Amino acid sequence: MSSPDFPQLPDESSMPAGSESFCDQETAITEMTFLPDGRICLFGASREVLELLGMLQLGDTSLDARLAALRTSPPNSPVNSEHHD
Amino acid sequence: MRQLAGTKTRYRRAHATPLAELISGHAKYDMSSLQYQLNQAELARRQWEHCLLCEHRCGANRANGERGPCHAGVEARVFRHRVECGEEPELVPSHLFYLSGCDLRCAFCIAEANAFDPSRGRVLTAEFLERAIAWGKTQGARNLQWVGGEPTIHIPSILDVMSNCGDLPPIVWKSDFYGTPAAFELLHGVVAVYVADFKFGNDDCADRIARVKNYTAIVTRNLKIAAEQSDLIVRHLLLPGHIDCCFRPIIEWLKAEMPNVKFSLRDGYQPRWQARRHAELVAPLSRSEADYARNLAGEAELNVIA
Repeated sequence: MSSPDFPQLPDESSMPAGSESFCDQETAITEMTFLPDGRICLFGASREVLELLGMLQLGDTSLDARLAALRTSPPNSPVNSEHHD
Repeated sequence: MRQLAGTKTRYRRAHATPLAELISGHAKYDMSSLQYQLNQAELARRQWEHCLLCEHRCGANRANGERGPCHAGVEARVFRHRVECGEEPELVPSHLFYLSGCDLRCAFCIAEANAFDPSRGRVLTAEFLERAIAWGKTQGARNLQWVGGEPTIHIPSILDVMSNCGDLPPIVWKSDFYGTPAAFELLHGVVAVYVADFKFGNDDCADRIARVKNYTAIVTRNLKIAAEQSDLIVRHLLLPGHIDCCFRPIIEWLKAEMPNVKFSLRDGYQPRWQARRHAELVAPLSRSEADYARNLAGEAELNVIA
């Protein structure tokens, strides 16, 4: 189906195996917004970004709770590994 | 498709697995649950011929090329997947699969065009999902979370694909809760945790900002359905200028109807997509509004988990 309002991306399902991206990596980023009053907003937070913020010891209880959860579920591959196909 | 062999009785036993074990990844669905899921996938495919998955109830024959308000066909497409750690603490790390296409048109949608154009992304297949899940596990993901857009409009594809995957982690279903009871019935036994986006506290705001009718009656009905099926987290993104008209009615309803439900309060609103069409949505949420809202939730003695 096509929407008249939006530009179309290539149909990845029709691409030869190996030439497709595993997902849209350009949007697989962590967005961090600093508000003027000092608040930090995160979207799509990765483990590494949370751990980085944890090192800053911001005293944010919501951050600490997530970091505690991460410590019980560690990755078993190198942390910066690429998505594979 | 695999042959169907499960029974609902056996499924229900599997469904009774303690939530904590499901979420922590220490327990997995057994095959009886998967086989029940196969039945659900078969039922769900009928929706492609007369779609009543969401409360637009358009009845489109998506298999024949008709399109409803969501514009979705029979293929689900993933425009992003990644392991995220900003979800509610009990869910992280969570492997999120973002599906394009949505039944709402929230002006402030952070997924922007990807959310509303179901032709975006790659086709969801069992092969893709299995590879992605395997990768997610190497990153420590505890669960698989379907998000959007809106996954409800893709229930047939999702169930079909999952029924052809061998080793599924616990399923988290993050939804706008604008689905029909029939849609929730299809998810019964499949979903370990619902994350409900309760966006608006009145129908006028929902119609004006997200272009949907009868919003509050539909969402509150579905919250009750979901709470009967699985664990439930109710999430609310605080919108600037909507504390009294939206947030307050929501917490009053929760206090009266679901006082113990897990309530996740999000205060990181950013003016994205078409938010600038609405005067009150042009700026981030102020600190004072965020603090005020959290105080209200505290006074209501809600079970605020984030």
